[in-house]
Amino acid sequence: MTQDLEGSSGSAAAIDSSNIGFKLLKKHGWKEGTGLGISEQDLLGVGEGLLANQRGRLLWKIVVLAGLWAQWLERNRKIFEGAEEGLEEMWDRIRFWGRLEPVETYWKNNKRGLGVDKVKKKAPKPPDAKNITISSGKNEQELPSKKSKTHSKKMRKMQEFERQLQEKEFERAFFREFWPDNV
Amino acid sequence: MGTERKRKVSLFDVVDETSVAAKISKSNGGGAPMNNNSGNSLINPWNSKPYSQRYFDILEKRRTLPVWQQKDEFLQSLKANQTLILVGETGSGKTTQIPQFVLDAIDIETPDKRRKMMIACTQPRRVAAMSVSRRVAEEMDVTIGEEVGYSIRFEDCSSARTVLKYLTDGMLLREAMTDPLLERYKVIVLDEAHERTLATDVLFGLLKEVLKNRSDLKLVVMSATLEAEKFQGYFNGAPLMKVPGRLHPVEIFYTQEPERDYLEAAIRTVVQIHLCEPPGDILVFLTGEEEIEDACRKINKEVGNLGDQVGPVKVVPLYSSLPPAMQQKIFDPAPPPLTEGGPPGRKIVVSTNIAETSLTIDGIVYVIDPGFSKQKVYNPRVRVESLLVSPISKASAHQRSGRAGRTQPGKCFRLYTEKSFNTELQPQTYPEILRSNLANTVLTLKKLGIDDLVHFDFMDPPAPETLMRALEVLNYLGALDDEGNLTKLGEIMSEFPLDPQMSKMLVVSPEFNCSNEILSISAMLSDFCRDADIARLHSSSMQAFKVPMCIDGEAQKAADEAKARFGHIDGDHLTLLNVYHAYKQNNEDQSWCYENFINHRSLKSADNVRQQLVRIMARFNLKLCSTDFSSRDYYINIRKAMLAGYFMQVAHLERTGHYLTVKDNQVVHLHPSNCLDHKPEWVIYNEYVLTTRNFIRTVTDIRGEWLVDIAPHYFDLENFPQCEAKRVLERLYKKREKEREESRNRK
Ligand SMILES: Nc1ncnc2c1ncn2[C@@H]1O[C@H](COP(=O)(O)OP(=O)(O)OP(=O)(O)O)[C@@H](O)[C@H]1O
Ligand SMILES: [Mg+2]
Repeated sequence: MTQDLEGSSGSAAAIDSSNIGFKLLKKHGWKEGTGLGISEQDLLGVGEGLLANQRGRLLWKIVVLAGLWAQWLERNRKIFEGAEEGLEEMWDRIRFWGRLEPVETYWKNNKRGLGVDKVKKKAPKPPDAKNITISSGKNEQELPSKKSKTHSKKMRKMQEFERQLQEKEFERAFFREFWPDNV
Repeated sequence: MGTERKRKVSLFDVVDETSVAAKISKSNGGGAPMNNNSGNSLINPWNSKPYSQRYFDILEKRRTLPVWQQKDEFLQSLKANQTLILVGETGSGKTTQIPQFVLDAIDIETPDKRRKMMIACTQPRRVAAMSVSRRVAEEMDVTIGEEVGYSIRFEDCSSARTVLKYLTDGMLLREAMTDPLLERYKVIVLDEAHERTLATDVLFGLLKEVLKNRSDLKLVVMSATLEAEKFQGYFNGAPLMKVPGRLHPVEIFYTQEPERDYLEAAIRTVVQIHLCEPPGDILVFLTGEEEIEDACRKINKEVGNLGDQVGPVKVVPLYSSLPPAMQQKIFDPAPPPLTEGGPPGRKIVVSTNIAETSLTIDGIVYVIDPGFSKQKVYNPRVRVESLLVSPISKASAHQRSGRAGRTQPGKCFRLYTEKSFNTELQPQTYPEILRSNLANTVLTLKKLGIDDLVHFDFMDPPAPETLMRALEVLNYLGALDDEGNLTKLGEIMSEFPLDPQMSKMLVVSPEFNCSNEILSISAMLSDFCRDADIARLHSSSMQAFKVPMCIDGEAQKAADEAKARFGHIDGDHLTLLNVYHAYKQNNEDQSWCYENFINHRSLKSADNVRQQLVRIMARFNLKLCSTDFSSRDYYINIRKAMLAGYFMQVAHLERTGHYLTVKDNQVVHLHPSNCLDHKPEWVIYNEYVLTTRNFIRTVTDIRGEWLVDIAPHYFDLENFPQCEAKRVLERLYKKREKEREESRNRK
């Protein structure tokens, strides 16, 4: 399992409301649980009730994404059928999809080429774990020596991690569909 | 092993020669409406000198570039619209030709006869801004720095005569701080927009506003990828012009199997090309300075082993921390054959992704792409910005291959399988704004008068927490008040092209009676980030700075020796100061530098940076002063002044023997390059390096008492996570309290 590096993990606690930065952002007119940008504030503002907990937030995010996705498909239909009206307006809505969470990355401490780990390990992990399989070789050796004592803790960590990955995978799939050159 | 490569049909359109020729002759007949500069005349209208032969030779080649076929269409579209988006394949002539087309067609006269309006063309990289402007000056047959110039951080090569200026996006943003409507410019070309650098993204939002207020200003956004439709949406449906095709085809090769070691594979591929392929220079993309220096050595060694059956090679490294003059070495010609008629020589450029966009290195035929680059990431939760090696995006891979085939047909060797390309690479790199610390950006926006950060028209809005961190940092530094308004201090800080922490340290240094020394330290720290203009200082210095870095050569031994000579036991910042002082005392002598393992060029540019900073200090009447060198307080004052800027980057030595960053409680280790002879209880650090272990680099010893004296608002115990450092601080506060009481009683 790839270590979720102390420093780079997104799992550190979110900045809370006692923070001066948090307060200042609110003073700038930001609504909790929403992203930034011109119309993100209004678009996401509707779901405020839902946003109280993590699950609700994720759910709401997916709802919004799915909505945008639908708009996107709709847009394509329009293009292919030659109906161009309303296009700009549609774009306006789509592009303001703002991030709620910071981008994550993993540390690579070897010189392995792209795709190497994947071949070697014959996919002990679900395919969507691909971006971690590219990372560190040291951790690979740690796998078998995993002690049963710490097992369940690690399992929980892994599940949490997988959940994050799934979330990310969704984003990525969304992006894959989203980029015009893949349509 | 890797010899058999799967051949792939070119990714690019191979331009049909006959049709090009036909179209050229057609477009030559037509000509642009206001075209006064395309070769019919023998006198150069810019400097009234007769054109040189070289001008005509280049013009001949320029006319074959794909963008020339759409010159009329472009100019018409420019005339009819305020904003225009142009997408063209790599090498089609966007960067070099479009600004010249604009220059030919747009009226830049002003009522004042001596002054003309300008055209700006932004570049994300300094090396590109410099080299492209040189090329364009050559194409226009004028002297660089006169009609055509460039401007990068700490270096302005333009004059009152300049009408076309290439500048880094960060520089244009800086100019906007003093000239909010960018009134010097008639047309602004945002080039390489697909790179989505932080500064370009901010300029997008800013220029949208400026355009509303200046109907006479025009904007051209140029990009090499299809993402342009996204730009079109963002720019309210501005017309999109596509320039199909390129001058020369590039063949793409993939490996059949994934490579176990991309570095080794890259070196092997270089050797194979040198052995088997026809003449032509090679460009290799690797991730960072150390890897590049390592590869350069290995390539030299491997080729050396081949004996004189093969031609000579010249291996040139390129990365952002090299001084500009060294970077220009990539444009040197390949070495001649050893013997007349012997096998030809080859130039091999080994570069980070700074050579990925915009550059044309004449003679490059082969590109080797292992598929990785160092990418910036920022985690606002733990406040760590770092450069991590990650797979590149498809768009980057495309750009890399585009460096071949610019002056002749080329080949690109991708050191991964086609399947990996299709399944593992993301379509685009995440925009930098989503991966960066935004403290400096927020300061710039505030200075530009953009107060509504939450609704700022970002093309891709950053995470709210990133903005919170930025606001927090600026508030603690005193640049923003508790309402989020820019303070007087913040205004001055925003004038320095540096990180807010460093600007703060400079601005307050006169209060500690050591501004001369702080200036030197700042210049030494910022010298090593040649590719940064704004906000990037912190991250690039990460990659670049370590004490041996200001020292030439490879040997650890040399570094150790230099350390022994200049090392200051209280910290690396002070060591840098020693190096600078010694350099000045020895009259900046080159051979002295050599004997002392010091990189002369780096010191020279640090000196230049220092002068620029002195000018900014003078503008705000900040006193230049020093504590008497023999005073016990000499170094103490310096360390205190540094703390006044960097109090948010403090680590505390725990009883367990490791360091924890204060407040964030991250376990960190002193970087092995440090000069300390002991493990101080408290240190400030310049950067946080993320590797298998978390290192803090460039550290200096400070005292706990200073924390409570200089930054009590930050080390406020009400707002402090439980940890050892907190308990120590509690004691320190009590001690101070007691002292105060005693002095009161005495009175
Ligand atoms: N320094 C140079 N020496 C020789 N030829 C050059 C030089 N600079 C540019 N060229 C020629 O001009 C062409 C266009 O270069 P230009 O930089 O304008 O392309 P571009 O469309 O901006 O490409 P990219 O998307 O890669 O930035 C090159 O392909 C090359 O043929
Ligand atoms: Mg270009």
